[in-house]
Amino acid sequence: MLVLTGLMVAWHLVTTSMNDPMFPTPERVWQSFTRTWNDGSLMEAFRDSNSALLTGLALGVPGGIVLGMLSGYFRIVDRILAPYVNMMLVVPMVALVPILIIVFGLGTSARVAVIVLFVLPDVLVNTRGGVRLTDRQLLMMARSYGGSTLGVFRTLLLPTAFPSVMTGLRIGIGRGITGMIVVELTLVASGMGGFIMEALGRFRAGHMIVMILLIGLEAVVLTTLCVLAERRVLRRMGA
Amino acid sequence: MARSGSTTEAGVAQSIGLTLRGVRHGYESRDGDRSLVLDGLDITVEPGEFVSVVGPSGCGKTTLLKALQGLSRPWEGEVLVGGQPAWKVAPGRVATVFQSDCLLPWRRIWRNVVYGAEMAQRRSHRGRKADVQTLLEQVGLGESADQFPSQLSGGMRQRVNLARALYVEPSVMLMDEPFAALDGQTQEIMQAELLRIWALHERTVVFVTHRLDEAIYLSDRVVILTQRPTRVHSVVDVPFDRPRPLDIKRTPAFNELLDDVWGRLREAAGSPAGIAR
Repeated sequence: MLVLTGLMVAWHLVTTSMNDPMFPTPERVWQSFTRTWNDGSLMEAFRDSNSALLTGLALGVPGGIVLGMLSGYFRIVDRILAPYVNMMLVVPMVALVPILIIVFGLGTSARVAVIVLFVLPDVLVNTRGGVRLTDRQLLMMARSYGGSTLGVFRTLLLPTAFPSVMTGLRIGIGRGITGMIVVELTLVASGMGGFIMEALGRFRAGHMIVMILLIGLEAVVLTTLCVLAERRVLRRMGA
Repeated sequence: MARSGSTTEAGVAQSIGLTLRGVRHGYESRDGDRSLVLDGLDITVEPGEFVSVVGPSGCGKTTLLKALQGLSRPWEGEVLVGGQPAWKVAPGRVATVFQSDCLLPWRRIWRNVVYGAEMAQRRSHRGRKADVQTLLEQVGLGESADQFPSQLSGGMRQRVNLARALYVEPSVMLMDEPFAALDGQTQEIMQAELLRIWALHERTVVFVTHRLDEAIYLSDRVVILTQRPTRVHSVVDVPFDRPRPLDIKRTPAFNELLDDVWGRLREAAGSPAGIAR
């Protein structure tokens, strides 16, 4: 709280002394906020982006978890996936954006595809790592009682991997938001990224800052929700 | 397989015997090299009998247990559980108590007890807490149903391990050095407890151990295995009546028998290395 107040005061002092419309004071930013809030453009951009984000997460997160669990458990799946996963982790996903636009066009599906590609590798790698932590003795025990592969996945691998899955989810959501903004800034001018580009075109620095703050706020809220959910589940599991 | 008929009103499953006939078995390394471990084992365990298996270190007791569990088929010979090949026997009819307690840390004790049955899909698929309570009281854990494994001592966790095996109402229990990780005092207590609980359930038990006094104290017969490639060296009958108080370990008759088994084991091993008395 103290840090935040200090930052606000510093911001106020610096921008007031500069008196440059491209470096707006907190008051101007607040005006930008009320204006875009009242005319609905802020929330429209927010909704637009987030529907793409949610769809992307809804596909990328379960996809990452399933592939991660399979590649953590079955050596052959791991061998097949490893090169692609490593590639996806190293090559900047941004480089793939133009290709995806070519494949999917400039619509929502392209944005969703980008978000999936941003989210999936992190969730996958973390889940795989978590599954690998499974105690071999426990596996042997479950097998000796006749546990099926599905039963072992559900009762042993998933609970063991859960904290890692949540870490992957947290990183994945962050990457998903990045992916979402990246497409909108570069190629599909809509949603929150499009809002920033439009504000830039009209020299409305206040609008840009409002949106950047909103993106930051969203990231904080989502990751905090993740942490809370993880704690809750872990407490229920008694860990 | 029909389950009805194998369980009486009291919930005591009928015991069945085990037969190993000329079992040759081993493991295959990744490059396909086969190493022979068991070189023609013949062992018969009567229904309801408590048999211990002792042998030099690395004599293939784990391989033997795996074959009995039906997790692997022997290269040659037969492993029969109640007259059926072990690998065909329905899961849960043979239950194993491992050396490490193998409890799931995120499950409460009673949920750990039902875990084996859940995997074997025996009894009510989910299992209710009330079903477990009697069993938990039998193993001396009546108060611990809602605790987590981390809250229990090593001995108590091993009791949960035992309860989990008993809950599937197995016809045969395989025990793989279940008390080896416990301290000496707890070991003795657990041995006496095991006999008490066993008397309540009367299952066929195959108990693998390194400790000769444990083997003798618990068993009707002690099977002594040789060094690899493993054969049966000899089988010793334990003549003591049941119930057996722990005090019999201090009697001359017990120590005579202990010396006898010790001598045989030394013979079986070829050298005294790797044997804990």
